[in-house]
Amino acid sequence: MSAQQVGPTVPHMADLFERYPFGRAWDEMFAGENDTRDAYLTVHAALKKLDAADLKSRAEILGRSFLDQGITFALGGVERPFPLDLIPRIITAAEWQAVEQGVSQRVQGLEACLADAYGPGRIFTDGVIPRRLLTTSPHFARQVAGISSQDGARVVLSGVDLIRDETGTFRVLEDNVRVPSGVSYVLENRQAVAELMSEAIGDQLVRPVSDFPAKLHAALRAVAPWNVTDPTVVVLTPGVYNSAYFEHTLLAREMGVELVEGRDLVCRNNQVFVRTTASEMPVHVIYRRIDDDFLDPVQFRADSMLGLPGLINAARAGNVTIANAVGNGIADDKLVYTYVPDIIRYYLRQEPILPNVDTYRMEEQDHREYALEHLAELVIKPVDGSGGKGIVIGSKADPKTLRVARQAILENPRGWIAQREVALSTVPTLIGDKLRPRHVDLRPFAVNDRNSVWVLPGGLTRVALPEGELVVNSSQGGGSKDTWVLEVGSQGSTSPVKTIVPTPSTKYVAEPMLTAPEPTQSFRAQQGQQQQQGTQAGNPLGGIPEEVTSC
Amino acid sequence: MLSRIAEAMYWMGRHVERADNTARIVDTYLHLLPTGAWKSENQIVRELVQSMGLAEDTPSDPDLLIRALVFDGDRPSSVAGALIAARDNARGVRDVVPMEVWECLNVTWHGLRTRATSAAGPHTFLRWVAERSAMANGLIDQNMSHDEGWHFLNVGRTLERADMTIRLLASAVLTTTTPWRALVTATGGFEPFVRYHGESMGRRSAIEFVLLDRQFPRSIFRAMTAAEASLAELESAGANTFQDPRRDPSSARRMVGRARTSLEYRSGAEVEDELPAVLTTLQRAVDNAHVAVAKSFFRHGDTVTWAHQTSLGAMA
Repeated sequence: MSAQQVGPTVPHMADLFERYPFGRAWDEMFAGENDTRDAYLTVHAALKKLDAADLKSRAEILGRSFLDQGITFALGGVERPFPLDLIPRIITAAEWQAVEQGVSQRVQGLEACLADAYGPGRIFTDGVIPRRLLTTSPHFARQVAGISSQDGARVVLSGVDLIRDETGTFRVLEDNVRVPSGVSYVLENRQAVAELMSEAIGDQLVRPVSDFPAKLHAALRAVAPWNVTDPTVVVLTPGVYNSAYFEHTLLAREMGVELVEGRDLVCRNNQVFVRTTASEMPVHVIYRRIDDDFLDPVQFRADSMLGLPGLINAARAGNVTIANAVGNGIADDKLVYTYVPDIIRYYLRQEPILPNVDTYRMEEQDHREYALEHLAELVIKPVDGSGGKGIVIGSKADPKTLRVARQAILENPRGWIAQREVALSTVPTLIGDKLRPRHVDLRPFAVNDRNSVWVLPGGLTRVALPEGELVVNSSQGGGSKDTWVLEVGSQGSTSPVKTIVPTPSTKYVAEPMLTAPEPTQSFRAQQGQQQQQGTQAGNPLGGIPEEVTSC
Repeated sequence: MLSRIAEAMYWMGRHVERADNTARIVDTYLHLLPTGAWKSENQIVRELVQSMGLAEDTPSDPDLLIRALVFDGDRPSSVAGALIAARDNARGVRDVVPMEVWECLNVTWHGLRTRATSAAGPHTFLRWVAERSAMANGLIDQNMSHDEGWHFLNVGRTLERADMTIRLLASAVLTTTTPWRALVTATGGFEPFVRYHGESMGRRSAIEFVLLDRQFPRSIFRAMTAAEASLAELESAGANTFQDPRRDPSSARRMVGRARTSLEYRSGAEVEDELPAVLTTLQRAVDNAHVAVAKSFFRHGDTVTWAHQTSLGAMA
């Protein structure tokens, strides 16, 4: 990042950025005082011409228009406009390259792992991860064990949460391969910022996000049961009272497919139909936004009114594809997260491009002992928590909270992990009359159509609005920002973008692979067993290892 | 199209129309009557409300009556209640109605809270409701593809319009002191009436206009004609796949068509002689048409309750 002089201080500018504090965290806009990073020069120049009143009135217009359009989320039963800060977060083409490839690699690794975990279980036999890890996960769904028709396409839409540490390196915070939400806000945020902050875009080339619905629709069609030529896709919503209902309607509308509730569907002879005014029409792909537990009262919670009785059997019979697949939750388990780098090495024979945050497993004695000693410096998280619930930040917790956390860990070591407290990167955000650094994360969305993984250029940047707050979640008073990925060759992306070639990993390869004869390879490809690896460049070996000696 | 969506579209149409009609009727009878004692006006409104079945319990206090009719969001028949219901239905079909239609009803819904509590009085509120419904109807007609969903909406809208106007007319006929001008104004047709029939308005000409006028889009005859046309479209859309004899897509159309025909080939004099019978028949036809639409197009699964199987349901 270069150190270009911002120029003489203009009074307006002083107003917004006056006494902008710098801390331990990586600031995305400034490398230091009066040192704006190249990618932000245009935005910074545009902001210099504005004062707090301008920004505030635009923010008001924005809130009004979100409320009118119903772009809201429900908090305590009250509909609120989704909070969007107008200052964008910018990622250069070179930085994006790492994110894109890293996320794509991670999704492929998790795909292979899910297929293996619900199938032959080689990774357990080879001792890479312990089998009990899987069977003790609350999200392990025995009901779908052995269903292989969805291998390679269990994670059609994923959202891998990334953060940037103190050195600016992107790290993975958690994986969301069940029902990641928030992509609608990416589309709406772009629309709103383009309308209200057009001068900040200037002549930069920002990569568009509007392709997303078409990509998702294409991927959903691609993962339909193999014998259907013109598959019907539906979006399954719990209903209008769900907090993400807005997103469900947006996806259905933009993909041009029906938005259905469980009561619109009927399952007969392992075939799913939707009730229409004329007759019952067959359905082939269900993009569901309902949790596993509520999906099929025959298999899971019997009191579920939201799901469709018989759905799992229909999927097992291969007549319908459920996206994302049932049972993906094991990959979201934060304890499994600690093994993901090894999962990538094992299946893809590559070194992970995106590192994890340093994490301690509470069920391993030496990790636990260390963590209990240093509890006040660590972040303690439940392995199956989401929405920032149950997280204890050691440095900010009072002794009582720490005692409770220590007790909880000792009672159920499998239920907790501890992580180094990372100072998340900051972006200037309008707080009162000033722009102030606030911590952000990034959720890039990846669409997997079985043959390739496409990462939406951008993603949801979430902001923790309270000062110093590190938990970034909309259910905990968080906001969001539009995320701009610059095209190759725009400002701040002057250095040529090099394709990242993942370092081959030799950790789990000890002897030559069985060289399968050609017909077997293509037969396997049809079975959807391992497209994830077979045709990818940079992986000459291909395939799930038949025989691997453990390291 | 999905049954649930069709049903929500139908009810969305009905509720917007109900809000619009109720607003116009209340506004007319409250404010446009010839000057007179508030008490007698209030009496007229109360009688009207009772005979139209707009509210089951009518508070004797005039302010409370207005509140119940106009602002009470908990009553589905009040103006505010109908708008809330319209928005709830629109919310369930957000993926099929144009963004603008949803936004219009959503903005109206947000406006209810501030408008209903403002001190501007019912007239200002009712005028605003009329504007918002006009906007919703305009967007529905101009921005939406006139596909199956639109026809369901239109059937709901026109059946509701016919229903409300029939009730209004029946109530006016029963009351001895009916101000005929108010009846015509409450359907929104005062100016067209004057243009074609002159200013003298009597019982016969008023009834004929509201019931039979061929040009005025809010006459009962026109409402029935429009409902029939949309039902015909729906029938042909379902004709290719129609299988279940219990769900005959033509039944609603036949009921509405028969009622419409009986109006079309009657003279004003004949109608006046048999008015109570005519109105009763019409009312029944509209009710039956509603049941028929629901039966042939809105499918519901039987409610299934799953017994809890502890041996299978529980996981380790």
